[in-house]
Amino acid sequence: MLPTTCLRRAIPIVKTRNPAGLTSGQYLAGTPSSTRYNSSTSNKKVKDVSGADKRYQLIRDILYSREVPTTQPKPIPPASAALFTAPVATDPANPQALKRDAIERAWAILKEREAVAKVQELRGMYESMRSAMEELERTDRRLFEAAKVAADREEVVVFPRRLRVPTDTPPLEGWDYDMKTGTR
Amino acid sequence: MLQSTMLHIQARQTFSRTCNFAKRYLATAAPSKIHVGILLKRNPVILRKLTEFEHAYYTYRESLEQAESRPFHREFYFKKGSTAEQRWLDAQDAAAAAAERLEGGRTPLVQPRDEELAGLETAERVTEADKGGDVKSLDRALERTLYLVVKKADNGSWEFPAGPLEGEEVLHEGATRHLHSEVGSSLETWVVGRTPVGHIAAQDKKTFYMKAHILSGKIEPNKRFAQDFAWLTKQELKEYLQPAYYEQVHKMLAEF
Repeated sequence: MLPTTCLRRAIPIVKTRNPAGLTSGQYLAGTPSSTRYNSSTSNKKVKDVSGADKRYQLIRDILYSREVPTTQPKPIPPASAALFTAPVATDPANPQALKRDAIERAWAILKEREAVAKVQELRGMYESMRSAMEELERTDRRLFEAAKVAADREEVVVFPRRLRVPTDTPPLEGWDYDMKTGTR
Repeated sequence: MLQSTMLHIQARQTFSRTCNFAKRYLATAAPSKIHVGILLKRNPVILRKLTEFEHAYYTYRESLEQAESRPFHREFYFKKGSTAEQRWLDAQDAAAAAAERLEGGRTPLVQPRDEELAGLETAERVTEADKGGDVKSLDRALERTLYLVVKKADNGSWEFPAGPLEGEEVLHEGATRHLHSEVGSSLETWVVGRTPVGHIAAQDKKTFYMKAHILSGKIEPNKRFAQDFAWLTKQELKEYLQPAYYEQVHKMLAEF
């Protein structure tokens, strides 16, 4: 008795394919959820075993599923070397690649412009601060020393807790003109 | 002979040291007065809205991700016959009617709608202050950074609040003190550190600007210093400020 059950458990449970070609993982669009999905568990010939085995079986089904994404997989080396030599698709016979590359190039141009503008803004702020400190050094040494942020000072500039982070929508009460939060 | 040369050198060094000391002393006691200005800003309250291209691009990338992803095995995540599974399936059914097909006949997966979140009341992103163009309101232009400008009482020009330093105070202390005297005390501000962010050097005075954030409260202009006030974006400031003044301060303002 005992050896037979062991043997039965040792046999890997074979996933049976249903006639429609659907596996347990695929969700077919348009079919109402009330219909029973063809799943391997219902066609299983092996008797129901304990819960632990079912999970192993499920994980095995998922890991070794025959389903693959239907779009082109990304090339692995050495085929990916072609991406470096010809990074932009030019072959008119492949309109999908042309479309994809056009979109990505437009996005890259937008991001580059944003980055350049951001760096320019920060550079302007830095130059403004630097020239102010240089002028202050020439003008008043006491104020200059007080304005310096030196490494030997103990105090650290910290942000106030009430400095609000931007959100998708504003607060319901709008701007806090009466300083209600301060009195909490 | 050597001793006299040594003395001569020492005398020359002392003389040059005295000259330098006098120069520095005279520099600090220069006739130009030091003023402290305050660049008071209100940070953006809401996130920027995505442009049409950004929105289209993100939608395109999402559709690619859905198409190229491995299939979703719902029996791994949902217990068979549970209410969570049913809720998820209902959400997919509802979306399947509206959504387009991806390659391979699959529809994009959707998250079930969180009823609690969907029922929350939210405020409008475009407020009445936006529609009315009320420049005194802090509820205007919620996506943008707003800066405080005041109309000076003496010459009627629009400038950032500024005033002379008093006593032995330092720049950031003077900034808080003068700000409260010029625009009232019913506001909560935070001066960022001790370092000035910009300066204007005129013949008679030098103004060093400190950056500060307004956290809450309202502006009540003191008639002695300021006739009027406004909260403006950097682009609007270009209209209000004098061109020469704008040229000197525009670098310390945030573009957006």
